[in-house]
Amino acid sequence: MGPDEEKPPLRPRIEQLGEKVGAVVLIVAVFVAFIFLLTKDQGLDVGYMQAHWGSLLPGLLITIQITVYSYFSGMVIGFGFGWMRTLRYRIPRGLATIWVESFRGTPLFVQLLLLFGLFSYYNPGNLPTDSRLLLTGYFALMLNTSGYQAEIFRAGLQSVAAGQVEAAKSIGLPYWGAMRSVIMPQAVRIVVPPLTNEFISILKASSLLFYIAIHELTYDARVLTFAGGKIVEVYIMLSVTYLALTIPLSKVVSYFERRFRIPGLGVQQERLTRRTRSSTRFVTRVFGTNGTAIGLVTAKVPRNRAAQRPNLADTSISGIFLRGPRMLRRPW
Amino acid sequence: MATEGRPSTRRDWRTFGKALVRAPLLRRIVLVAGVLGGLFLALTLSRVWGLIDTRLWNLLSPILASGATNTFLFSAAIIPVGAVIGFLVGWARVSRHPIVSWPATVFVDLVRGIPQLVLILFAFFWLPYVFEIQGSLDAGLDFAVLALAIHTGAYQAEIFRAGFQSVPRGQIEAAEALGLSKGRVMTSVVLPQTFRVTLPALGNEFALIVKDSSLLAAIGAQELVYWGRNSAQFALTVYAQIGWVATTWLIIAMLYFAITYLITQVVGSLEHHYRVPGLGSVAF
Amino acid sequence: MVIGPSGSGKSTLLRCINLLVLPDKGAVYLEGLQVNRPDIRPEWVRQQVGMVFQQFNLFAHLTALDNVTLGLRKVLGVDPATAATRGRVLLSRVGLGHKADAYPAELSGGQQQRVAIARALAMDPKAVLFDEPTSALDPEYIKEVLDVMTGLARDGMTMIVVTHEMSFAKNVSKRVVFMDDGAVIEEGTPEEVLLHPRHERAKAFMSKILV
Repeated sequence: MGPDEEKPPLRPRIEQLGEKVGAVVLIVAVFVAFIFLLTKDQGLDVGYMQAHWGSLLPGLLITIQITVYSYFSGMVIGFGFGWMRTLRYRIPRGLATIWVESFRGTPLFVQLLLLFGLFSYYNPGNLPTDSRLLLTGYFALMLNTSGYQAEIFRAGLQSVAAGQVEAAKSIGLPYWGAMRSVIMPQAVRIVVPPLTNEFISILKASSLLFYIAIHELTYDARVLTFAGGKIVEVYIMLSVTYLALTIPLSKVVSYFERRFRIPGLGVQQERLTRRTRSSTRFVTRVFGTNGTAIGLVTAKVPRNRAAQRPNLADTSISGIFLRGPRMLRRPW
Repeated sequence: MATEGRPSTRRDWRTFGKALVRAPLLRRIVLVAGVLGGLFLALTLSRVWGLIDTRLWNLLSPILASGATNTFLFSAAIIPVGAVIGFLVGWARVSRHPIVSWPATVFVDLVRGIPQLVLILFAFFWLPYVFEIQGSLDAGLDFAVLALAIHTGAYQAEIFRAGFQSVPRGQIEAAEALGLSKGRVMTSVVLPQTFRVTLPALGNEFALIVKDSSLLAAIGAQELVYWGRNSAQFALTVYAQIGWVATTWLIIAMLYFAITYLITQVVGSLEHHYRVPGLGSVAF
Repeated sequence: MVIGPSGSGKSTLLRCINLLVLPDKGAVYLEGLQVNRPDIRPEWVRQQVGMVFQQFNLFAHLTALDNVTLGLRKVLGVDPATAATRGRVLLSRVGLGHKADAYPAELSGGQQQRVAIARALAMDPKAVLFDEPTSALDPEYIKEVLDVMTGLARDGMTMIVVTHEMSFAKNVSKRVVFMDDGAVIEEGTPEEVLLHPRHERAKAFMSKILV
């Protein structure tokens, strides 16, 4: 007999359908009213939008390019610092913390303008103004995202149960082997949704680059409005463009979050009833072939013997299958 | 009886006042205020004693005076408005009636997908015209602040939604079985738990609000970044002192840290005071 | 005592009684008065009838004492001091007087369920409904909850219990109802229904349950 799942009785189908239809009507009505309010009862000039949406394309291109470049280069840096934050040694951990807190704790605007000042004064490589500006924007975004991604990676690495490192070591895997086969596959799953969210954030943050005259999306839109353009139409086009990029990405995030859910793993803390500390300890063993983790098995080991290899007699398979149960093969 | 000797473990709004005074929070606020005051004092004295170039002093003082105050004020204005919007929209999101939940969902998805800056720009340049408020810079600024509040409202709606959904349905059933009216169920059972569970995520969001307020400088609001830009510009072009540029921005960074620290400490002390064993938090 | 296979509608039946679920047809009577009428507020009915759930459903943010007194304070308007006294009395009645200031997360399953029973009793109900009160408990805690329920029954409380604990049915209950597929199949004294069922489905069920 399962837990009582008494839901309140569903309201009649017709009522439900009626409400949904009503919801759609309401949304559309609100939109239309909103548009009329904004355009002061003149309605949307669709012809204008059709004629001018092309002017936004170069900016869109720049936006995407800068976002992608700075995101992925920031990822490399961020991973490095994030990993450093998980170390036992205070110096690298402290340095990494300074880096992360500096870029997460201050606004992007500040970072951007500081770099702007620096690059204006020192002009690396004697670049022409345009390129220098682009470089400034790229650097600012890259450094900023490295701080945030470092935190994401740190959380991902640390979320993987601490016992796993021990278990991997206890069967003879060196640090890097453990990393590769045990920690990483699990950490990757935890890390992908927030990383995708960060990409969306950088995409939105790139709009700030207009301030230093980088010809990205928002800048192009502003130019349109200066030239006597119709503000509402321009901003609607601008918003739609951003939405066209961000909404699919957030659907991707939701998809990843659902697909990669590992029950019991992850950042959300449920209500935990306090467990009594038992005398046994759970040590995780890794079964695999070719050094690739295929399954994880939990073995109960009496506490004082935990340092030795757990033997197969104590093992109970509770496994997390990373590649599907079919592929679980014992190495002997 | 064994229970009578124990100090009360009641943790709700009634005991908050006493706890606040005793808390480390107050000490930390004093500490931060002390550090900032000390900085200001040091700078003033340096100028008086000629240790510091008067020009640098002229560059730095408006930052501390006007900039920091304005940033703090902007953040303080946006946080509550955003929270109210977020709470209402989050509540709408968990409703069983699509006619309420669908518009809320559309609102959240749309607002979250547009950069804050775009909202600010649009609000600043266009909305005063729409509402026929002519010529005043302040009106545009108010609209821009509202735009920011709406933006964080959408994010906070997600936080509140997660908070509402974290209360098990069974408890709502049990409360109804006791005879509590729908409203009472909300106030006595759902909201206290939602509040505790959303605090950490909200604290994080408030820190983000402080940073987002820097965007207001892009439309000329006289907050920290605006003054920083001014001063750095001057230092660079007129005085050609790159060191001063770095100093300016460093001080500004410190000030942002200070304001963010204050806010997260306040939220943290709330979290600590209202903690209940067994009630976790929603990750965000 | 209501027994039957899963999905037979036992929990729904209970919820119809205290109007957590509004019946589409039929009538619910409390002390001779029909209560599932539009002019009677469900909250009023629920004050008269207490309920204990399978998942305990204690309010996680309140201490045991506050859980018990919530109904008193918010629904009946009792002042906090009186409510606290009454709450402590009830908690000692279920054997948890010393845990009044503990939060649900600090209590074992059996203790939580006993607090839930005290909570239901605080409202001085005319009857208490039990929805599989021991099904979610670890075996070592089942007895303490059943003991409390037995004590309640001895004190004369009207109880409607959905459970699988057949020993409880035999020893404590006065009437047993067997349900299947949403309908009441058999009804009678424990001896009649458990030992000498007449219906086919009842016979099949009993043979599987009773050893």
